[in-house]
Amino acid sequence: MLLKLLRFAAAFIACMMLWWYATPLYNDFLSRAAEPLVRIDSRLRTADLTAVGRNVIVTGLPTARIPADQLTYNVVLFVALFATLPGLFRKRALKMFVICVGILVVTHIIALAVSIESTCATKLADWSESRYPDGEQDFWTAAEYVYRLAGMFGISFALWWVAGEKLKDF
Amino acid sequence: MKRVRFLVIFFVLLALFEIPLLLPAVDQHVIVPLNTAITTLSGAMLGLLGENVRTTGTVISGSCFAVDLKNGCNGIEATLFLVAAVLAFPAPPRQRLIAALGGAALIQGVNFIRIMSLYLLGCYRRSWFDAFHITVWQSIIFALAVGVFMLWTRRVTAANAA
Repeated sequence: MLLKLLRFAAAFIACMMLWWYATPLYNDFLSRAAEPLVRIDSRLRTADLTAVGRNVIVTGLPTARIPADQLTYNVVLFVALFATLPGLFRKRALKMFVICVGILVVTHIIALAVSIESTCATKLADWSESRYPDGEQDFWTAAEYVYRLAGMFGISFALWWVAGEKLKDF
Repeated sequence: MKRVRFLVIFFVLLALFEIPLLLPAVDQHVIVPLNTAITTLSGAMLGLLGENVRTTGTVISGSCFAVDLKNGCNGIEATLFLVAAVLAFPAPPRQRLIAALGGAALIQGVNFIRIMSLYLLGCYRRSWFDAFHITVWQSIIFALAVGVFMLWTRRVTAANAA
């Protein structure tokens, strides 16, 4: 138990540091990956996404700033939890880790797109009001809220839980 | 199949528990009074540590810094997260209730430490405040919820197997 706690703490601190310093670079990747997804919405077809430090700036519409780092730090919890699993350095565990991180990256791209939709739907004053009906504003707000307050941790937890169960089978 | 069932129920319950927090009526009648109570207690504990602070509603203020307790700073999300996981896991109702109440108490206890530490960081290490406010403490609180769930499932599974 103590060993697991130590592994959790070590992985937590190491991944937190990595996440903190790698975020600007990762945001650059996220903005490039999310841009085509955002443009699927015809209202956001002209949107250009640019990473600036810990934020992603949306231009081509009324300018919006998305604190993208607040969408991605669940990777820290996932890595720390994963470090508590047995057989951590076996090939199977490493493969599982890569798959889970891949899924996490996909959820980050979707989360950024949702966050942009939510911002455009509710925070751009007249531009938002004239383009998003009330129901849609509520939907995007709820989607972003649920993700940011608990959903992002739910995803980390689910990935760790599934990985643990799968590794138990072998 | 059991794993899929657990995860589906967990995510459905999580969404069902979290979405009402967006409603103004819930915010006004549940969240704000809860945040006010947490603020008052946290302020009193900071006073015991020798900090000269006063509390007004959901704000703790002193000569060097002020924190305003909002949704997301009260441990409710992590508590609901734990309750959703406990309800999704097959176990007798009594054991679920114990896990939910015990876990909620533990999360709230650690949340007091979070609020006090954030006030102190704001006073004495302002440059660290933002990182700790969102990233570090939120991750720790949810890690605690996962830890409680992990220990509880181990005990429940062992008890049911015996």
